[in-house]
This record gives sequence, structure tokens and C-alpha cells, in this order.
Amino acid sequence: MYCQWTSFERENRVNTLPDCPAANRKADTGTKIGITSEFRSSPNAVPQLRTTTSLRLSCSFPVETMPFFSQSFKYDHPWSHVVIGIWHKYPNPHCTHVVTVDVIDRSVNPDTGIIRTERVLGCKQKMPVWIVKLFGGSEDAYVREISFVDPATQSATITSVNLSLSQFASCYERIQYRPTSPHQTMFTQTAEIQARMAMWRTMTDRVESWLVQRFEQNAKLGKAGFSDVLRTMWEPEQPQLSPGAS
Amino acid sequence: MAHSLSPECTPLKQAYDACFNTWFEGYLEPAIAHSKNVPQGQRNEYAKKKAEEFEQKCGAVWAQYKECVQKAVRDRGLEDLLEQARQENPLHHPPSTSEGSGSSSTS
Repeated sequence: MYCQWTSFERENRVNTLPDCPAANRKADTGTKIGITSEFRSSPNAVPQLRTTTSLRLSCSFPVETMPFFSQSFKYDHPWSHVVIGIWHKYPNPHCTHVVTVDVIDRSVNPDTGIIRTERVLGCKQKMPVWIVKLFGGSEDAYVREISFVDPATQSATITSVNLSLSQFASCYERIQYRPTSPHQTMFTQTAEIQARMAMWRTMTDRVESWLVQRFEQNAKLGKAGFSDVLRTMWEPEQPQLSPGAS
Repeated sequence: MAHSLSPECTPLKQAYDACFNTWFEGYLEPAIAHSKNVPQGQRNEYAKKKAEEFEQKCGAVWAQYKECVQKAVRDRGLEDLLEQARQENPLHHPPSTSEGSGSSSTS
């Protein structure tokens, strides 16, 4: 349930960008790097680099909200049993990615009887390697979860959002438990992703400049390397290679 | 019970969780019944009484656990992320009631 980036991605692919006016859509071109260099004219020539970039995320709002997941079903248990069960959910062999659960704040409202609980969940997440490398994350992902249990209205809501990588995108998950009968409880879950476009741009800029630097370095090394090869092949410094020797 | 962020907090966390669960399991069913059968004034009395009881029973272990876990949160560099998340979405009140009415609870 928490931290499932892989399944989020899968869902995300199914849904196209919702509610994006045609005027705000952008072409999906990615990053291109061009290089031109004059190797011959001057030994110290610096390769000329040319770059063009555009984002793959293609709606030009500052914060992009993409609702992409919702489901609901009934548990054959009374609401009170389900709500008591919430606090016993982890550790769970079906959710081994949730490793730590900590309450960081809790209050019982003396007027309404509503219990508010703020927790931090620690997940060991098999994140795609490229995400870890690109965004400097780690295997540990943390989630903030706020729950409200209201006995008077028999409603329990749990909202969670990722703390890790939150500078790039937030995944808000909302769960609600409500009784549909004395013996059944309806579970409703929705999730949405908000991508922070400004941060994505900064990141693509950074990746781009890193690529440019790498390219520049490699281009210099390539040039130096090939110069050596050509010198070795064609400059007459090795008399023992004369054809008449064998 | 799941582990704490920091192994040194786990015993305190488990003691606190056990305390809360015991209290909660005693609280919930009567709270539902009270809200159905008893006039508004008395329900509040029940909630008030149980809130005080929770503080009395679990307040001490909570203070210890809280101190430990706050340090663990700091040590893992989560404090700023948490603070940012709280500013963006304080969630002081249940989302269904606080969202539309423009909750003023940004602290």
C-alpha cells in the first residue's frame, strides 16, 4: 500500500494526462546533445557543444496533479474491529517493505473524541536503480501518515504522503473506513501524484550539465587518445618496423 | 509490533503502542455507543474522561518514547522534510471537514 512506486508507475502509464488543455501540452522530445569540433585546425581546440532540452512531462502547470488510482471494497468485519486492526497492521508478511512504524504525535480531542495520530513509516523500497542514482535517494523511503478516528461518525481516514523524494513529486494517498452495516466496513483508497515541475526542470538542467561535462571530458580524452594512436602509427620513430627485417 | 526507526527506541515504542492499544480497545466501542445513545453533553464528558485517562496511563511512556523518536527523526535528516510536509498539509482536522472550509490551522 505504501511506497509502491513501481505499481504507481504502472497505473500512471495507463492514464493519460488528465485535464490538460491542448495549449499547455508540450512535445515529448527529451535531451539532445550535439558536438562539433575542429581537431585539425588547432591542437588546443575546445569541442563546441550544443544542447537542446525539453521535458517529457508535458503539461506546463507549476504543480501537476495526476489522480490515477482509486479502489474500494468491503471487509466482512465491523467498523470497530477494522479500526482496532489498523494499529496491528505491521509487521505484515504481505507488506514486508514497511520496516518501521513510529508515532510522532497523537492527540485525543476531549470535546469530539476524535483521535489524531501522526506516524512516520520507514520502507525498504526496491526502487529502480536509476531513480536512486539520479535523485540521490536510498533504499530507505519514509512516509508521513496522519489518521483520524472519529467514533461519533464512525469514520476513519488515513492520509499519507512520501517524505523521501518529495522535492520532486508527492504521492498523496487517502484511505477511508466507514461502516456499511454492523458487520461490514467499506474501504476506499485514492491516490494522486503532484509533480513539482520547477524541481524537475532544475533536475533536468543538472543532468544536462553533468552530461555536457562528461561529454566534454570524454571528447578531450578521445581526442588525446586518438592523437596518440595516429602518432604511433604514422610518425617514423620506430625503425625496427622496416619491411626488410623478416 | 513493528520496529522503531532507531533500535534503541523500539522497547519504548512497543511499551507505548501496547499502552495505547489497551486504552483504545477499551475506548472505542463505548465511544460509539455513547455517541448513539447519549445526548451531546454526556458524550463530551465520556471523551474528556477517556482523554484524561489516556494521558494518565500512557503519558509517561509517551514522553520517553517521543524524546527518543524525535532524536531518531533528526538523526535521519527527516526533520526538515517532515516540517515541509506539515506546512503544506497540516491536517489538524479530518480531511473531509477541513478541506472545503479552508482550515486556518497553518502553524
